[in-house]
Amino acid sequence: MEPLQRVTAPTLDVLECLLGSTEGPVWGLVIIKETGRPSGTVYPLLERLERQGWIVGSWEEAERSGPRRRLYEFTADGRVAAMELVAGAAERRATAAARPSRSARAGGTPGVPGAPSGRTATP
Amino acid sequence: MTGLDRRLVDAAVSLSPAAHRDTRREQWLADLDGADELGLSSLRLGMGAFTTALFHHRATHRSTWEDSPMTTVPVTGHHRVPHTLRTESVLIALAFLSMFVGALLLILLGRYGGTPLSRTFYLAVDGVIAGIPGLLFMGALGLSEGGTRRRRSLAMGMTVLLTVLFGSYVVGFGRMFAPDWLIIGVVVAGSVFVWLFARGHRGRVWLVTLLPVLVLCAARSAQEFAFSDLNAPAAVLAFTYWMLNLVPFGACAVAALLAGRISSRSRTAAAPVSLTGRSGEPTS
Repeated sequence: MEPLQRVTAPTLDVLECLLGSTEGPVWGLVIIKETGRPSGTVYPLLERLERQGWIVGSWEEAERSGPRRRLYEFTADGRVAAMELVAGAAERRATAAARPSRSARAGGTPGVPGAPSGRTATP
Repeated sequence: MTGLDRRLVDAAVSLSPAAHRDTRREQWLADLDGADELGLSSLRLGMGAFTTALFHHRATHRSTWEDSPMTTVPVTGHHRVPHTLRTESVLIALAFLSMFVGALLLILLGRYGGTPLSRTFYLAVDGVIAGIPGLLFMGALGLSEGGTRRRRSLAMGMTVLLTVLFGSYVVGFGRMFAPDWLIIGVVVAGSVFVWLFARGHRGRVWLVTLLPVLVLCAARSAQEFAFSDLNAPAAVLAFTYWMLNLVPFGACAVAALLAGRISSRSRTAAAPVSLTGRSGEPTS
């Protein structure tokens, strides 16, 4: 398995979607639906993940007429790496959320630039 | 699924590397079929398939494609599979077509020059004859094979300069500083240079850069000859002038083709017994 050169927000969304699946391989279209990302973003991502050995694709075996659906699931190594990546990203997000905003540090009301935070201005 | 979605997927499949077509076709058609079921727009899916095929050309073999399902052999090698429809060639042809149309528009403008809007039209035509071909050429450079990404990026930067130079010639600004032949000569030779540079060519292949310059010399002689007939109508002279200006650009395309042939022949001559790798797959 090759490491990912670039991990973008859509990459993390796709990995999270696949990790969240409890019912085996996930149909590519469901990934598009659940991530809310455009298909022009998700299709190349799935191809890249598959090419680099993170996921494997297979054809749906259900008895349906018409073209077969393409399903995806993690390889063993891919699942471990994806869990680490997603956990790392969640940690970074949590750290960033806990960090006081610039306005709060300056004593202002968060979200209201220039507003005082209760301190009365005396002449 | 509508006819338009289906056509988009068909176009996307035909733009895809040959080795990926069957898989992509089945996958994307199944997704179109299921779009309604999941409340997704099949048109947007079709567009997504099209942009995927257009902008993601790397055709590395995927472990589970064309094989029995669920094989998990890790893939390490990267190679590009040739396309049946060469997108670079299409982009170059469109660039040339845009120049041709732009030249025709310039000839028409020459007949109706002097009107208040003619300056605005000149600028618009400048875009058609220089700007659009420049962008298309950059697109072709981005898809070209053989060179590194850095080379392709540098080549695109050089193309921007060449486009500005040619645009300045078309609107007449450039002609205040340098003669026509010099500007066109730099642009055509520069275009071939940029192409060869982006593709990482080496050795005697670079001699093909001279081809459009030689053709330019011949075209300039033909222009002189055409303009020696003082009785010829102005429209005919303008047409001759612009068509002869386009000939060196056609020579650029020929030079690029020649370069491709020469380098592939030299590669074959250098490695006559290694046409296949250990696995039996072609190595070039």
